[in-house]
Amino acid sequence: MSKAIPKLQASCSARSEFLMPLLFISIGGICLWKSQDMSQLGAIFPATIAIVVIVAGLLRLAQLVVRGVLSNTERDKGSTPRRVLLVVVMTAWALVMPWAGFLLTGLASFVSLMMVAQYQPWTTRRLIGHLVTGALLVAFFYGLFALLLNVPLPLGRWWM
Amino acid sequence: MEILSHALGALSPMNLGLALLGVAAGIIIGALPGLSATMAVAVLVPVTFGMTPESALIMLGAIYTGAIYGGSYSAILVNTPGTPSAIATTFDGFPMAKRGDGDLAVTLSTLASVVGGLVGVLALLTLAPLLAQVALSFGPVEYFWLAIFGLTLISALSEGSTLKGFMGAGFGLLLSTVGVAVVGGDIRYTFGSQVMLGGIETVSALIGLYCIPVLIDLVATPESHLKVNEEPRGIRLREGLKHAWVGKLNLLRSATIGTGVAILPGAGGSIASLVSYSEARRAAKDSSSFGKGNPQGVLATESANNATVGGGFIPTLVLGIPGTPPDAVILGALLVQGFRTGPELFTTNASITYTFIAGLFIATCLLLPLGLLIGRYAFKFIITIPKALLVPTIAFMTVIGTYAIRNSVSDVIIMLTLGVVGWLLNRYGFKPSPIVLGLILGPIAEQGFVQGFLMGRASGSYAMMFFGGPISLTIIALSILSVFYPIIKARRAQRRHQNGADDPQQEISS
Amino acid sequence: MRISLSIGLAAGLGLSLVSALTMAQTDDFPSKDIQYVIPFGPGGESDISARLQQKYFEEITGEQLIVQYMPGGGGAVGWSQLSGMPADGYTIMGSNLPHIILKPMGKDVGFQLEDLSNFHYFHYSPDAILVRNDSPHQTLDDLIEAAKAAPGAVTLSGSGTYSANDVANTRFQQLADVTTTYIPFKGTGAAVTALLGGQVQAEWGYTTVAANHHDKVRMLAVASEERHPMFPDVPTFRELGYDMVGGAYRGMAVPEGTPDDIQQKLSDIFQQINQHPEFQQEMQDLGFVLLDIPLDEMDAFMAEQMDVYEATARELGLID
Repeated sequence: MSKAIPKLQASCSARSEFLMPLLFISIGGICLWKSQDMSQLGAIFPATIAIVVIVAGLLRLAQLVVRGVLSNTERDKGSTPRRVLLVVVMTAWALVMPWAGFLLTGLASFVSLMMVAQYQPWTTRRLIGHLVTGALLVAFFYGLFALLLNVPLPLGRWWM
Repeated sequence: MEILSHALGALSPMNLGLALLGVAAGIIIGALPGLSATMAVAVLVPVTFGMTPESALIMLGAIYTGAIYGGSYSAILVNTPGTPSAIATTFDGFPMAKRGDGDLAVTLSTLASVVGGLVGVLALLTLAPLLAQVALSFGPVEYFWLAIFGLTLISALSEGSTLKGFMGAGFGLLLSTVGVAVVGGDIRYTFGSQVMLGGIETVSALIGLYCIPVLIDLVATPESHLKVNEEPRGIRLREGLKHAWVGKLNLLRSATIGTGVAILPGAGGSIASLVSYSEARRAAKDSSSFGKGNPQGVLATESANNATVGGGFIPTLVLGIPGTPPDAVILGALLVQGFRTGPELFTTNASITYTFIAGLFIATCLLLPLGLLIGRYAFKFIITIPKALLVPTIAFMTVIGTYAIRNSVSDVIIMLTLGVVGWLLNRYGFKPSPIVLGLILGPIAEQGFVQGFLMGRASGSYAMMFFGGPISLTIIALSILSVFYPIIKARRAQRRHQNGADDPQQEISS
Repeated sequence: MRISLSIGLAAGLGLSLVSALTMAQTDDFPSKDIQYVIPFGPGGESDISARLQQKYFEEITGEQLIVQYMPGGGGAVGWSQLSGMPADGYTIMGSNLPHIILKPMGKDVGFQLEDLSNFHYFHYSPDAILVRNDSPHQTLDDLIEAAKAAPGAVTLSGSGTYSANDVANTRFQQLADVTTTYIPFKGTGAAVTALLGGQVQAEWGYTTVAANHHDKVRMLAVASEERHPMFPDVPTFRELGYDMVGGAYRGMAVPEGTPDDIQQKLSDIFQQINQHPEFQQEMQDLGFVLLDIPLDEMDAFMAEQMDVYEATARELGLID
């Protein structure tokens, strides 16, 4: 290996490089602690893995301390609000689906996600075009899954 | 000659039409994340009851072949393996698509799938009874070591820090233990939630870990999803053929690995393609370009996973033990049709067996024209569709696809959660692949270990049980080699650099 | 003219809608396809027997029986979701004994035995001890002797922990007064692979396994009341002096709250399938033993099974 050990390049901030192994060590710790309630056969595998995770985390921490880290200054930027919105819309979709039915929630989230992903200004033509295409796509997938593949998609409990 | 007459029988216009339909439907189903080959086959089974056994088998084989291949589309174009078999295709396929070579990647995947498929079918035709015996010599201990060998791929898959790879894989392994344990019957890590009893469904985890991060980053910037080249370049078949010729050894090696892994029941296409990927990478001179869009990576994985189609039928037909989940469905359909596996396979049942093999052969050949055609449209669709439509379409597919696996909204929630976790981890330098590797190999490793442990206790010697068999020792040696090979290779390269005697690039020009 | 036409149309539509709704609940049932959810993966015995029913269901009712899979947790994922499914008879789920009794015992797996309204049980595959053809154990006594000579050294593979196989092994150990090593595998397929590969000496399986692998394995004893017509040479456990009759029983259930007349109707349909001679022959060829427990005999059957498995569960340490 190389003689002069270079500093480690962090993926994000230098502080997060230290926090992540700590997170994994705590996950391993919880799993190890929880495995005490299991039967011998059931506990042996998760306990071993938990120990491996903890050891890997500790080694990583040691590596970070010994070699030092450089903060990554070239992190990609992007619109965090849009990212959060995407996750929120999709989560809401999944949660509401059993109640409002698949078709309705599918259409609603399709339109919301369309708005989230749109960067250019909306013109009437573009909006109508997108809405029509969206409706067609939803109809296509609905037909494919519900009719052709016999997947019992939720109809919704609110109108039953 | 008997096989020839059956092949001709399979070539009737009706059967050819069914094969065409089956392959096309399979490609589309396979390309949609969440709709796996298993599901495609399962939906078709009742339809085949009305057909003659020959037509039914041809259609089932065709849809299966198509679905395994179709999984590469979403892997290449949206970084989401359409079926678990296509996990490794994302490694190089998606980077290729990102830099504007998506069309080439799809063509390569088609060529590799045809080659791999043919090798698998050939093995099924000629070596089936022999290879089935090999499958039987793999006991719990051998599976345990095989899983450990699979886990040594972590060092190849984790870019940057191997320790991060280990933490990620450990996380995946722990995730795989959630739910009711097969061995021991404990309920583990459900934290009181009934939703988690059934464990984390592998395909929904795949969709979450691979596809949701892509979506999250897709909405964050106005840039287009894939780089688009100005002038149209067709399907780039000539270029694809050139890459395939350069990688002919790679193709054959991967197809052989695919067939070999597929005959082991329970191992499956995902492991086959992962192993062949790492072998291709190891054998390559420029191994550092793997994972950044090396065409050979796509060739390796797609050749291997389509080889599992033919390979998986070897234990299914000879032993009556399904090699892969879709095989299980087809075996069920065969039993219902009155077909019995075993020694009658090539005697009493020869007509059905040979027709089936001929059908698989035809379906594999049909992949070439159909794959190139449908692939071209899939590629065009992804690059021309505006972002405001692409994002909801992909989101729609992930949600409905995850739901469809076992009609469960909880799986959708788990998928989304894993997606967000995967995105965060990726941001901090933890790649999704080691996690997925752990998730897939976890059950194999655990069951193999505990069963081996029980068997060792019964026989009185744990050491003999785990280190006594020749197969175990071979796999252990391979694992050790796999860990240390990169170091050996680096040393060797230092010693005699620039010696291109066995460079495939030179082979072609001679 | 136009008005009266539209009124007539609307009235007609309304009438037919109302009649469709009421009809759907009684006489006309089933008037559309029925979803048949198998709480296991494809290719298992639940799947294969459902696939066999599929054909005759369409013959009898003219509607399709659509097989779905909802695997996970040894059936627990499916059964725990049954109560949330529509209770209109158009969703039925495979129901397996002893799973539905043993699973919820002593722990919370998301469902109780009472959540399932079983309307028909149609067959069972009797437990059996299988060995390879070249095994030195010719009879059950050989195996028992081997187990007595070296307690724990005889290994038997089977499907899962606290499963039908595990229960059978526990009961057998008790009756024969031996100690064996039971090795749980993921499903019958993996368990039989271990037997064929010689990793274990014997397997706890079913007559169906012997039927499927008849060229490579033989049974030492069967836990049915009479010898199976496919295997007239294989003795039953009772003949050999061990009071063991059992196996994996399979039937169908609907969510609690499904109207009684619909349940009765479903029970009748599946009873009719069971009486079809071709179906009977196909089931027998695969090694199943047909059973016919319609809706009105279900409670007595379940109570009887409950007694049997409660005793074994105590032995296994599942309940105190």
